[in-house]
Amino acid sequence: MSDSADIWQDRLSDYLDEALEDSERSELEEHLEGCEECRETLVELREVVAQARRLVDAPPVRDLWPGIAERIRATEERERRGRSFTFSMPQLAAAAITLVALSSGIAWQAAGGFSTRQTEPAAPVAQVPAKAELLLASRIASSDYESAIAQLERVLDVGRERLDTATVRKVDEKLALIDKAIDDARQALAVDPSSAYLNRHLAGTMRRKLDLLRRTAALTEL
Amino acid sequence: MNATILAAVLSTLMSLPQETDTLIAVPGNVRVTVEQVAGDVTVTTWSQNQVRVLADHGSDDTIEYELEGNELSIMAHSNTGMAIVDFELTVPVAAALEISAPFADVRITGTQGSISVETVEGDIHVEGGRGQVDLHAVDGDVMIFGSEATVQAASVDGDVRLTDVSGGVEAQTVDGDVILKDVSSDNVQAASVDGDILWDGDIRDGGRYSFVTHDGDVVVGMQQGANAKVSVASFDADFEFDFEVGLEPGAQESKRFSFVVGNGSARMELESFDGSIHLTRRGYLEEE
Repeated sequence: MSDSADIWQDRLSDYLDEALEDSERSELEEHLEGCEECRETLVELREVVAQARRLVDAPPVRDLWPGIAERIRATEERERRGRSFTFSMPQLAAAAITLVALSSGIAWQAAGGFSTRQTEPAAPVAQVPAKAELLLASRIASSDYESAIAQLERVLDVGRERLDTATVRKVDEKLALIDKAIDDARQALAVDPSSAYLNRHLAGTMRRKLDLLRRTAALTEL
Repeated sequence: MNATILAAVLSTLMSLPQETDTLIAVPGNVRVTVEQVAGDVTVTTWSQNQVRVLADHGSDDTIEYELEGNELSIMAHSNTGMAIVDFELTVPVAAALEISAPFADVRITGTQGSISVETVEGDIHVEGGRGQVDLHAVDGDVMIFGSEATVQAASVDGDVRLTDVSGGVEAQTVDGDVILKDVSSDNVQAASVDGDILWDGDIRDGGRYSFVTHDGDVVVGMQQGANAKVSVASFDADFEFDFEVGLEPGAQESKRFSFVVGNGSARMELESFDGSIHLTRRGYLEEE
């Protein structure tokens, strides 16, 4: 991906949302004429948005996961090469991570959440308000990611006794805080499922939850 | 405090207090690794190629050193379970530091090497650092001053504050504010879930700045003459602009809009799901 393509890819969701100024929209459209990669990304983004809209009332007709997974692999490869883009990744990658995060979120809920809450009943999936997200996520065969979540839970199960009880309590409180933010984002998405910002925000918030889980798991090794 | 730590404290109180003072000859580019469980760690520098280790601990605790090449490891052990040791280290100015101290406040002053600190319950305070500075706390504040480094600073329950830092910045917390003052960087990412993001620094041409929170305010102090394309996004935020940004009528009602300041060279993303987004002039944090 060229640097200029990278810059414009960040603007594609704004373009879809018709949030660009006239001059910027013209620049982007001019760029699209000469950039196949951005054109492909735009097509896929449109598919994601269209699918989200359709899912409100009907199941999707086409699985986008293979293409998204390929994008994620490419993103991870770039990350391994040392490129930093934690919060400003191209929109398609953001959409992909949204889907992955949603998928893992389902795995997380199915597993009953953080190990310290294992005595509590697992949150029923049906209580999550964003039907579109669930339908979309439930169709994604994100076995690698769910496997990672399962591994995290196993690490926590084994290592939780090594953690200070106050630390566990603190982490639980902050996980609840993140869960609240996730619920807020989901409820907003239920109203406006095609919003690129809300999708990105939900993805980012879920990533923070996963980051916290990973960090907590790592603490058990200290 | 859990039972293990309580037992360790009681054990330490019952054992005789002891002070260990050791000088270790090291290369100037030494990497010092400190592993302890509880107690505070203070690090200062000097111009000598030696590490001085001053440790206050119980008589049941032992301090071990291992020097291999330019790697010096300092470890605390206890015969009764958990060692509680207060370390005061003096290291060469260029020393790199790697400190893992779950239950400790860590204070580092004056080093010009890379720094990595991990705490669970404790604040991290760093003045200096070059190259790479990675600071992570679970329950504690993270503060960095005068660092010329790529900085990764994170807390779970605490504020993250960077002042007079040059280099790429990734700062985040779950429950706390991220405060970035006089940061000189063309790549800044700051995020909180429940807290404010405060920026008071120069926006560099070509730079990328991302300030994101869920339930908090984003306040950006921008210098006169700054050049940036600013993208603003929110679900239910209020907006305040202390200078003209040329918004089209109704733009704020959409909760998602962008505008250009100057020639728009830098990229800036301001996002608050449910707070306020305030664009003001550089220097506002000085006034507060």
